[in-house]
Amino acid sequence: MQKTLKLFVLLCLQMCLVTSISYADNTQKSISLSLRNESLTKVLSEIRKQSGLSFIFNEKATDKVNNISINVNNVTYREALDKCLRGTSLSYKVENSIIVIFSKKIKKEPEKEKFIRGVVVDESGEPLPGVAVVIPEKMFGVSTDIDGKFEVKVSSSVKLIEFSFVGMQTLQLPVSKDFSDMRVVMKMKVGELDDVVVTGYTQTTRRKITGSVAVVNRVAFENKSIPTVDRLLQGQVAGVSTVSSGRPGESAKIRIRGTNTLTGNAEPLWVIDGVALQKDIPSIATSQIKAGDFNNIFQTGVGGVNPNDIESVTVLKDASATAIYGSRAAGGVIVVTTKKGKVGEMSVNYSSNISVTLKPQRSARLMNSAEKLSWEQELWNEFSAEEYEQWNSASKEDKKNYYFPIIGITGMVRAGKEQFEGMSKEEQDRYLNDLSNNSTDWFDELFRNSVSQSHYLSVSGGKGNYNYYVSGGYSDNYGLVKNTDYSRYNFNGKINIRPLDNISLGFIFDMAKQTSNGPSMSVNPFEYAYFANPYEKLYNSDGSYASDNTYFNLKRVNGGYDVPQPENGFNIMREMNETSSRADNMSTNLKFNLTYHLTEKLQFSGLVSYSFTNNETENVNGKQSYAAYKDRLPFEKTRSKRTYGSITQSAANNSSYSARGQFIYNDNLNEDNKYSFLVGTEIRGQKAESIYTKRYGYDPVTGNSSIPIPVKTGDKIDYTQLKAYADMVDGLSGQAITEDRFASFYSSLDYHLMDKYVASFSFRTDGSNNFGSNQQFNPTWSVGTAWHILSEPFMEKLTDVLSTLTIRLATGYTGNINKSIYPQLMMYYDPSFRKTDLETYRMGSIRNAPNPNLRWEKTMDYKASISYGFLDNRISGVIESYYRRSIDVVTNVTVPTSTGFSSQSFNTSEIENKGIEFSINAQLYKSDDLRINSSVNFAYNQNKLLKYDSPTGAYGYNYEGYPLGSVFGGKVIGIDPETGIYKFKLRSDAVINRKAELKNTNNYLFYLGTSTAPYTGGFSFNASYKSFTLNIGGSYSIGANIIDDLRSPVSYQTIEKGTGNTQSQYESIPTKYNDIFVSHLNVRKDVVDRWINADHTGKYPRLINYFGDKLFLDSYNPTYSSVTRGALLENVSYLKVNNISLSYSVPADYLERYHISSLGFNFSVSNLFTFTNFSGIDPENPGANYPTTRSISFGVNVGF
Amino acid sequence: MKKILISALIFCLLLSSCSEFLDLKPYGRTIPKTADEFSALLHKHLGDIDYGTDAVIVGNASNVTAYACYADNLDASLTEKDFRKVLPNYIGTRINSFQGLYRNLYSRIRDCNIIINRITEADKSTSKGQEVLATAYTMRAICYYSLIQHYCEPFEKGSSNDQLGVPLVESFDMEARPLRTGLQNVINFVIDDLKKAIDLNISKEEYRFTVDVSKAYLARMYFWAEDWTNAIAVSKEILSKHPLISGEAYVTMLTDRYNKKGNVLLRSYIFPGTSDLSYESVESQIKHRPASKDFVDLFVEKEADIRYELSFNSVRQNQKNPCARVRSAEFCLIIAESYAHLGGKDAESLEWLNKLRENRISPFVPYTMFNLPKVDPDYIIKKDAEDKNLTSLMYAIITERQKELYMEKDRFFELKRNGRPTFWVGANGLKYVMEKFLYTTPLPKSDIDIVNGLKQNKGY
Repeated sequence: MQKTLKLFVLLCLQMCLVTSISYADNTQKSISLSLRNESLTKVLSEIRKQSGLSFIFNEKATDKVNNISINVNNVTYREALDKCLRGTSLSYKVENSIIVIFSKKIKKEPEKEKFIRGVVVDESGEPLPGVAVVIPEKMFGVSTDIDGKFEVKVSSSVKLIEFSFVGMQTLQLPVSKDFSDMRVVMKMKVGELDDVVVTGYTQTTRRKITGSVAVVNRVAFENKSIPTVDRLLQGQVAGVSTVSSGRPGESAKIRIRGTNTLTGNAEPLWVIDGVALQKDIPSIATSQIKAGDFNNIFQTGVGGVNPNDIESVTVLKDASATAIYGSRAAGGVIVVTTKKGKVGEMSVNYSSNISVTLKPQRSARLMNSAEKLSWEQELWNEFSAEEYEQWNSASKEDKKNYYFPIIGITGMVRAGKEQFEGMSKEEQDRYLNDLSNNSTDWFDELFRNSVSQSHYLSVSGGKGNYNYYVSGGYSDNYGLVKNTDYSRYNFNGKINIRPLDNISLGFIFDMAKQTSNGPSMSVNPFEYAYFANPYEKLYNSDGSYASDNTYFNLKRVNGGYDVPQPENGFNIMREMNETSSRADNMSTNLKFNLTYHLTEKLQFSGLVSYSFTNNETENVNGKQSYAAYKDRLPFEKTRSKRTYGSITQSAANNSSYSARGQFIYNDNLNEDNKYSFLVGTEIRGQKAESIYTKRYGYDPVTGNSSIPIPVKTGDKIDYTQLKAYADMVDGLSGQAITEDRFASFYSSLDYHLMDKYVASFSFRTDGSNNFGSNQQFNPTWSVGTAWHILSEPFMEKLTDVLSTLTIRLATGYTGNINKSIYPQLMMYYDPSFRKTDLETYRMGSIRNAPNPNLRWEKTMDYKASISYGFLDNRISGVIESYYRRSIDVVTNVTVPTSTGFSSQSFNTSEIENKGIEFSINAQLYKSDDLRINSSVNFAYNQNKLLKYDSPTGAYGYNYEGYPLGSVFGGKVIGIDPETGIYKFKLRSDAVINRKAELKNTNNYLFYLGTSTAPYTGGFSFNASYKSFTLNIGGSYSIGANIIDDLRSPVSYQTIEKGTGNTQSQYESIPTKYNDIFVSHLNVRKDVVDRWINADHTGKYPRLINYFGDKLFLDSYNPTYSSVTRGALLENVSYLKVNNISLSYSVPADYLERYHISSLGFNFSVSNLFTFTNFSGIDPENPGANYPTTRSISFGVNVGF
Repeated sequence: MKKILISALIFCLLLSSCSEFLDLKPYGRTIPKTADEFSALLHKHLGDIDYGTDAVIVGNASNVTAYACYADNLDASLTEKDFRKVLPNYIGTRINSFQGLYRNLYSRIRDCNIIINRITEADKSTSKGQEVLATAYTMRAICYYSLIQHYCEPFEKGSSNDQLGVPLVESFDMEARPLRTGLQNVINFVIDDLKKAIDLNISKEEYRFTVDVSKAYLARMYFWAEDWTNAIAVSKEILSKHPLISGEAYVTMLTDRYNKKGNVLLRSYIFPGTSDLSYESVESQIKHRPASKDFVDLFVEKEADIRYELSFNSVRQNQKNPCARVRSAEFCLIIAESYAHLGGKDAESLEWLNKLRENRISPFVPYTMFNLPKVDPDYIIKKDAEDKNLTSLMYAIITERQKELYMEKDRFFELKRNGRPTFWVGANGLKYVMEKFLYTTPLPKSDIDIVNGLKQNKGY
């Protein structure tokens, strides 16, 4: 079996490796010595230098021998050693290429002996080969083998055994009797930075790395109340900006070192246990099914990974680190490594967490009933009352000549609209007075304090040549919005086996099931909570749903033609209860990896993975809901009152696979020259299919449906109507399929010179089926160097203070496929068909202009960094600066329409990202009982659109020379006391000769800032006293400006919709603050503080009735929103304390008798404070979005 | 060495199988090559016509209504207040939308070009290939015809070579930056395309652009280009195959909301569909702008003219389906007008004019050169297509056409062809003047910006 396997691997080697590899031979005659009266220590180190071999010896013993004279030329090391040890009491033996010098005497003392056997592992349970196991008393030692195992036979008098290894704390353990399975865990030296870094393709150490890599370890993920990995990353790593939403299960938006594409995907690549995530689901486009019918919450991100399963997360930030991932890595790479079993007794861990998420804390400062009614009355008096009186007393024919706005319930009551017709003044007053007594706080009604819980159980262990790790987790999260929840089940199993000394196998199986539930509403609940009038109520006195009298009727009460309302009106709670949207996601991953050490230096590793994701969504609109009323079959005429429910279901599955094989060759040319070389190939592919169906007339009781038919108008069936009906039915179901494949070749080379200088090179080329043959393969590469300055002799003096000082320089070239476009002339088939009397035909259209010259988007990346550490690394950190220039960025360029297209995708634009990142970790205090650590990170990113080929100079809000996401608009000087509207600053280059130029947009446009925060970062503070640990973590984001676009669902445009040709007769409304119709729904308390006349100025500008007498202010003031939006500018900088947690672990002494190995409790508060000037609810998610809110949680973890 | 060679060979094999691995056909999309695939491009546009979602090639209800609003048959000044927001006061209000029409017409031309350029010789010999090709030729010709009607000034005999045409794009090329060629060139191109389509002689109704439709557009093109003789010849062919109808048959032909009936060669709305609602709403909107009194007064026979009650009711509200059609009556009028222009053919002209009137009016008194109505001095059109003052005969033909093709997307182009008269609409206390230059709509601004030397129409 072993032979066959060897043969197979050798065959593979022959197929893929063209390079021939030479073996260095340690038995060759290469030692030449000419020394007189030197100490043995010195002689041995000379042999070590020349042979490149490792030695283990006790200096105390070798220093004693100091009279060696030797003169040899070109002999083997054995000859040299024999010669210099001759006549001493020492001898040597070779174990795993390590030469152990030992005292001969010990061997000769057989009297009473005992065996000590065991295994040496690091803190993560990885076996440590080559550890020196020494019996200090006897100056005798062995080293551990490749599995970390050792075996020594010593005299019974031996009491101590010592373990030492580079970078680890030397360990002395007492020995009393025979040990057959001693397990030794070695710990990292304090402050030693040379920890293991997993990059997905290889595993290396921090010292050998040249790229920008940040590692977040398990502590950040274990026992946290936040259930998703991406949100836990917030503020952890400099240069990684994470914007998360409060919606349970929704993935955060992550950007690593800025955005470098305009139209492509800027998300980072997630790699889990070596396998990149690929789970695209084809999008569904059909006229009959609306976009909101599909719940796509699980289509991005890594929601299925349980944070408790995470061993570490490595963020690869620059090209030097990501180039090996090729084209998908343009947005950076996040490598997630999950926990695995440790050799030793079975250990069981259980942890649980319960948390309560509180309603939004920041008040929206909205009016209550009394305030709102009095505000409406104020508007009525000012804008409507007089005209209403005239209208009232006018004759029937003349009535149409009068016009008065009707705002809010007060307007409706005063004007006797609809149900209020014929009310006397007294009745009106009484009605309004009654209303003012009850105030609904919609935030209270729609949101709740929600409870979430999570449980996690893991079992792990191992023996000899295998280890295992099995875990299961459950978490649920009841959302802030009533009726929303999210739950997740995880199962993770991992087995590592080493059937032979040189083969190790790993199997990983994991499964995650996620479910998200919520109402499926046509009305955004956050928007509703913000704008619904406080005097509206949820229930009538008889308990039935009350109808909202104002939310939808502005147009109707003001004489417009409006889509009629359902007979039972609109009630938000009915919507929440009678509509539902459910998404179920089940994903299963199978991974198998093999590592085969062909020789000591050459290793083959292969990884095969298969994953299957099934995503099901179900959207139900109950019969009585407004959503169902809005979504009726096309033959329903506007006057039709009937309603019926519907259900939309979709099932999508994605199966993806990847396979890769790589050879790693490690060689030490000599003591000072070491290199490792990697070459590999990878293929991957995915196929995704989705089917969907919508059924009208759905009955939730039986689960079946009865599709409505048009109302019967006669006995004759109209053929054409029949056909229209069939067309409609066709649109109710369908399917979509996507399939793509990639093949890649990659290689990397690391070279270490004298352990001081590191050089690395990596290369990859990806081929995809996305491009035409001439652009099918895209090469990416990187080169990097690192210089460990402290290892230089001239720095020796500084080592007392400085403990780490490394400079790293790297550059690289990465590419990004922009999947949205094709170089060829591509015809897309329509989901529907052309149906004629006789036949059915496929329809197709050419959506995008082809561009045969289309290339990959490329980013050239340069970075320089300094890692520093002082005082035994008690203060350490990294300062990095980078410059990234992305060229060939695809944008749409306007082309002459005579080509048949109005725009074409071209590789025309260039984007620059430059920035500085800075992190500092400090051990502020350390004693046996108290330890205080703190860390801060900071990142500044400047993003700039360098080149932007667009004949009009602008595309959306992108301007050359400004960042992506720039905000342009007018600069507010203040409210003009004369006119009462905002005055905007004129540009210095504005030329004003005519009145019209005073309103020209171009004379007012300024760059107002960027909506992407340039300064971001995080901080943490950690103090532990005895068994208590306090942790405070936070993040900040500074310098982002947005236009506060929380727009009321009603405005003058609601009444005016669908026009555009008669504007000149009405006064333009500059901003939402000027519009009286906005007050039909709820507004902020402070809007009453407004300009009334030159003597009465206020916080807000004057109110204008769009349909009232023309003021002609718009003839000499800018009124286009592109300028006036400047008045709505808000700074969304914030500093947020994301997490404060206090944990206590019960001392081991108490636990021993209960056979418990660990027991801990923790209490934490999330999002306790947010410092911001933003006027809305959540500066991280401005607008009517799901905010992140405060939560309190309590957790317990126990280990056996 | 041998080992290395073998390894290299195997490596190359791996690479080539790799490109096979990557050679994956995408689902739901294709690089069109076969007649069958090309037909999908056509069916998309034909489907739009069938279901009334096409506002580019033939035109749907809201499109027809908009053109009615730009012309003089309706009295824009009398629009009810609330509907001023919906119905355009005059073409100036919507002038920017013609940039979009230009874009859309060229995108249809692009699809046709792709088909015409890339269809294989083998496919050309199959019946499917011929159907696809002929449809593409006709569709391309119709698009260019529409471009001429909108973006070029009315044809002027003698100077048509110098008159600005439109960029002539014959094949799909993203790099091409064509300038406007002479108007006559474009006209010749349209005629050429239509003749090619006619030679292919397809009659499969599913393709809508049958040989008869190609002929109809050929006649329209000749007529617009003042090639009276050819216009007469082609129109006669059409009429002989699709004679005029009258009475109940005529009424059903025009009132049927869907179905192609009578002598209609081409129309939008063959089947009801998603556009029904907009069809209905347009019909109700247009009722709020009455027909102009001058137009109503043209129906001197009143109820005796079958078109009178078909067109509007007693309060001058529109009654006719706003629908773009190609039907025989138009060609009868083309013959009549062409004879009148030819000179010395007044008798023939009268004969064809009477042929139409006979089918519409009962009791019917044929026109003779002596009982022709006098030219109304207030009539909006003062000059005919050849820039001559209106004769009684020409006046009779033009007004007859105005009545016959009311609400069929014809009148606006009639005004353009016949001297581009100016008129104005009063609304919101303002006077909206239909200036002469507005009859020729603007090319997209972006094209003028990008293409060096591309000329914009006068006035923009």
